[in-house]
Amino acid sequence: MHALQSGDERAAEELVGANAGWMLSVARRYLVDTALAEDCVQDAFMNAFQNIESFEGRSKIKSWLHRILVNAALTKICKNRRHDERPIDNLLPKFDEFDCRIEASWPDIPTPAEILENTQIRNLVADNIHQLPQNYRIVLLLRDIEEMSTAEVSKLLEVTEGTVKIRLHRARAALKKLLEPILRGGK
Amino acid sequence: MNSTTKHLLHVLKGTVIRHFPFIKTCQEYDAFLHDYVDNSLPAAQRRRFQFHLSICPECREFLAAYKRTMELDKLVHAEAIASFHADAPESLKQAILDARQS
Repeated sequence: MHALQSGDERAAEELVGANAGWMLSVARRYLVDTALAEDCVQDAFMNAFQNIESFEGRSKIKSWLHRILVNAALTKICKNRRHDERPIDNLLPKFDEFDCRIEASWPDIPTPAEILENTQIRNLVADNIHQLPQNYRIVLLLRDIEEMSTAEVSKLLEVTEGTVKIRLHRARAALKKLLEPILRGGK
Repeated sequence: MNSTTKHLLHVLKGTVIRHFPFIKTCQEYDAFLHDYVDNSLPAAQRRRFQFHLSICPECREFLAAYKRTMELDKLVHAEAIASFHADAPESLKQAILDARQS
């Protein structure tokens, strides 16, 4: 770390070599597009190099880079916001005149391992996840995949904790609806 | 069970849930569902929600599919990370180092 902070070229190469791979995988979760994800990793490293003096070693370097990367990904998403997203309302739970849930019966739900045995279905599942509107997909990623707390997500996205909770539930419910044909028959 | 019996049971359930004190409707409980799944509901609310689940097959089955969706989402992301090449392309690494120099 001292070598990095003093501008050592070899240390910079080692930092990039050891971390660019996992950072690219994480960036692809958020940005989907590989070219955008590569740009994002590059932005994150530039940010890290510029702020290397502020790294005090209280956290692990990987956690520090991860935080910088997620911020870079969110910034990139804001800049490249899609305008062709499908509305989420028709994917949300439905209720009848008694406020009772309208839900077709689920006699048997295959396990995730059973569903993902088929490569085509595996790709279909991934495609459906990417169909979620970005505002919802990001909350789902941060809470369920990155396992951040509601408070952490709220701070990162600059929205209230209530908004995070609402978006999280809607995202999970909408994803369930999108994946329903697969969950019901593996098709 | 024929469709008439199903409908009658549904109307009965709807009427009981709507008019019985302390039981919230499915729509009211929907707002708490993620807290229930994340184990962040206070104990008393959790018990009431569990009672609702015990009498409401639609919520029970919705919840099972909701949880299975979360598991599937996590597994797909975990596999994507594992299967994606562990190393970044050399061109990207070089671009990062070049940008650092400039």
